[in-house]
Amino acid sequence: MEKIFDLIIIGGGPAGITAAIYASRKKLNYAIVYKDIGGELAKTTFVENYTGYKNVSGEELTRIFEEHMKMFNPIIIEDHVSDIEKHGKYFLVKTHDKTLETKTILICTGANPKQLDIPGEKRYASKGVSWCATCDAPLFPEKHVAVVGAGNTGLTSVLQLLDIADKVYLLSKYDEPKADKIMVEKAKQSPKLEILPQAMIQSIDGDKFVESIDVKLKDGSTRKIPVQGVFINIGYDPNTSCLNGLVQLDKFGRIIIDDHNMTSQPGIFAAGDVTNTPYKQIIIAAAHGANAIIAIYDHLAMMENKS
Amino acid sequence: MITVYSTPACPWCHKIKEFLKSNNKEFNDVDVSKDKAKAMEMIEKSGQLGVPVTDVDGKIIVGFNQDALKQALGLHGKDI
Repeated sequence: MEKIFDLIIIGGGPAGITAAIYASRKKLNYAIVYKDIGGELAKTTFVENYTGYKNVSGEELTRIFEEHMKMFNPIIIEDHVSDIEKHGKYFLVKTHDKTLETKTILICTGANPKQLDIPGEKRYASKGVSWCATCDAPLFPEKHVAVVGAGNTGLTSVLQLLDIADKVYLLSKYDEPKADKIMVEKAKQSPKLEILPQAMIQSIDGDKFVESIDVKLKDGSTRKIPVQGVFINIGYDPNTSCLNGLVQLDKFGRIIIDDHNMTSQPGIFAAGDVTNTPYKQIIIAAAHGANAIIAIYDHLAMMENKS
Repeated sequence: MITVYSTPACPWCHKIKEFLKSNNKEFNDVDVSKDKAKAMEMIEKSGQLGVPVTDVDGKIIVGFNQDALKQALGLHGKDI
């Protein structure tokens, strides 16, 4: 280890990238470590609610973010972080082949799509079961498909599949889909869509590929629905495996932060979807990244004053 | 011969293509959203319905698996 960084940013989604831009402008001595630029944003079909962009693909917005960040020539390490640990008054961040010493850490590791944990889900993964409509929807032309989950991600999948598939079932946990009304109304205009309110998927069945799902309906009865595709959009599990119990998590496994994005461990901050912020949005993650860096800048100044 | 089966908006598909380009590997770029026969070919070769799929001289790699790609391309051991 040659030098001690002011900050290591972990994660390359909207929170991490925004943090890098702010950290560059504050002239912090930092590195950003990520495996996949863009995170969940890169997998989003279209974005219509990021201020300044009326309609942009997730991929394009990721490219614009990346270009903005790289304008400052930051140190970028494209690797997974396997472990972080306390090292005296500082911290160690370990990747596959590097150990970095740093005064502060900003965790922007985001969240991974949640699994249903029902029979058939694992067996038919990539054999009709998908967590990425942006990637896989084009493989279901003229097919019957089900989307599980009626939040914004679920409705994005539905809107995409309505253009490709012959029939789309939307399984909503609630009576009405929770997604933005503008998306729900647009989807409802299609005769191909059938919304199943208060529906719970029980199992996924088939032979080589998915052939049907069993769904428990609102009235308590079970319906076998023939489908060739199942798109799962039921939320996200935070990525906290590298944390080693260093920071406090809430009951959902999300990192608890204060108004300054600081965790229970002084010097470790967190931003974006990995935190206990109740709403997961690109613009919220980006704002978190900015907020965290201003707080980290102040924290570093305080550390300097103490020593 | 290298063939990449992909869809236009899939980020992993772009990563594979970038990876191949950066290693000066030529490849057939197949958009399975536009070519049904090729989509069926991909499903038959890989036994699954997800993109991307890369065929390196008959070796089938599902997803963006850099290690498997490097191995199939004989790039192991090189610092890339």
